[in-house]
Amino acid sequence: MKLIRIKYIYTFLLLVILFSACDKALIEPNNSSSPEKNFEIFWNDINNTYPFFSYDHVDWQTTYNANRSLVNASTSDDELFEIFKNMLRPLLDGHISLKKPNGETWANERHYQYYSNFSFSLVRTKYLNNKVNFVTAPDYSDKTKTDTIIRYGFINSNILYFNVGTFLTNLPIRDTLRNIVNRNPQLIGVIMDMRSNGGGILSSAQKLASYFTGTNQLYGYIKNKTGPLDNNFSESYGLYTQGDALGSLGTKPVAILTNRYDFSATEHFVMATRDLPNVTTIGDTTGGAFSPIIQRTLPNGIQYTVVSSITTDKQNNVFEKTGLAPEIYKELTNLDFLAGKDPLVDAAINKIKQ
Amino acid sequence: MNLKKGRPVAFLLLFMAFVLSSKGQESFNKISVSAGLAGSTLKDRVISTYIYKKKSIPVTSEYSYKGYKSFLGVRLYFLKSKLKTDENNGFSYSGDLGTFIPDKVNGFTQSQVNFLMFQTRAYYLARIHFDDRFSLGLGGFGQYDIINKKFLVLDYENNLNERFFSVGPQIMPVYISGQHEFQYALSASVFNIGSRKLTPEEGTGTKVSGASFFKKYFGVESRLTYSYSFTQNIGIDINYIFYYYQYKKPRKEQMVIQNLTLGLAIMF
Repeated sequence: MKLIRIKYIYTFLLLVILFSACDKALIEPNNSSSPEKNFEIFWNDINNTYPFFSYDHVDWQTTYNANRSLVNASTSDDELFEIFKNMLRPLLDGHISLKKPNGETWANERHYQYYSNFSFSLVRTKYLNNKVNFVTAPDYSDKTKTDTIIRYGFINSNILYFNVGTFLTNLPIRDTLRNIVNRNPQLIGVIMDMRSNGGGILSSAQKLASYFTGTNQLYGYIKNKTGPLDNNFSESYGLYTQGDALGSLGTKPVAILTNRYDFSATEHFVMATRDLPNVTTIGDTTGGAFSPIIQRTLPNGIQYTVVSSITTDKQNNVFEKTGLAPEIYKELTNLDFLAGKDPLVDAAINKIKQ
Repeated sequence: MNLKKGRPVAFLLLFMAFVLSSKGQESFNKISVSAGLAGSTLKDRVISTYIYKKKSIPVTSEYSYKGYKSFLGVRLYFLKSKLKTDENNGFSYSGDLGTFIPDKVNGFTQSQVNFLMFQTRAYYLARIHFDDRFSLGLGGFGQYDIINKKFLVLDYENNLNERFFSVGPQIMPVYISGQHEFQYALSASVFNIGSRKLTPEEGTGTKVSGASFFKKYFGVESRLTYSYSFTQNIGIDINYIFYYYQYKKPRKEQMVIQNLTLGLAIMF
């Protein structure tokens, strides 16, 4: 060993040490502070799973570049929440929301500029003569509470007014409607008032829709984001109404009232029924949030919802941002309200009587 | 080497030695098998911006020839590892509304990348003698990498398969003194043909490929080997290999693998 010159050993050891240290020089370590970590997780998750960047014309990498420098070890969770809001705002999917651990929530404000065109008290007093039946069920999230799911009554005794407040319930809405219709053979038509129904359980909406379609009917497609790159999607799966072969409404005219506050499962109901020849949609465009919601929780407790699939109609049209436009556009103005008129209900009555 | 007593593989090795027409006292063939510890560091933006790490056991085998005028060799390298990150600890696809995607899918987590690498490298260097003990090899190498990664996106498994063929220059100073040999090899890729194919569990995949000088792919290897010969035919190798590569499409990936291996060598 003594024959080996010391300088060679030194040289070799130096090379080992030099390259051992190269690890961090070549792959820059990520910052590990809590705010930065939460930011990276938030950005990465949406980067890999959000399906609508091309529809939204949003470059998420540019969003990263613009916002990453705003986050450092001293960024508070409230500040981070505001940064997340700004990052999400250009993504117009209706299911996007943020929630702080203290319960404070944020959803995209784009819907707030629209009127709901809906006053149930107006319908109750002016069209139903204050004769309203309520169908309640245990609250879906809190079983100790009760939630009103359905409100119904009769206009001129031969038109059923049927308001579905939510699909977030285990109540069999379709069976309830079928029982009412079966008990009232004098009915000439049905007004399905879906205004301000924020959605809920998809199968509940698909079952209700089957009462109008009669059978299991294809009404759209859904494809899921399955990989991190922009074009990584599953095959398209058919969306069907869920019939039970126990009878349908048949060909009686139906008016479906919609507004900008209809979301998710409610929009599936409208999409599944709007093309039927006996169905007319009246009111305003729906909210535009079709794809199933997926909720996440960050290490700092901030929760957020972002979709990871694309829902289309049978013709592969995407309505995720735009919503479904009604066949007859009507709005309820303040003057209408003061005059005791609901132009949407009036249009529905006229359509059914035609 | 006695053919009658030798193992079947010796026929092949002797044939190779014959073909190489070795000259001089320092000319010899060597075959070695090594294993040890590898520390892997991965940052692949197709997967995420997180850094994934893991220590695992690499296995490498090499045939080399040291002739009076040249060095050459072929090396096989295998590494399998379950890389992990702790940068997304605390993240969950669940919340007030319930659990949407379980934390574990088929034993897989969102923090994990299953990694497999199989590398074949061949080099040929002209040998320049400085003195009786010290010489320098100058030449080039060709390398083919098979790299497979598996990771989760939501609850879908994704396979990211990479194939790289690269060539470039290599420099290798060698110091031999009696039973001891120090060898250092530094090489860097210049030209590369590469492809990366991402195949999600369902639906459409993505493939990028192409040839480039430096632009898309770059790899560098620094290897230090100390060999000790117990006899003329048997010895040990201690290797330290630093390997780095990066590829820029469709999103940039970088990987460092540092290996320390101990192996048995047979010379003939």
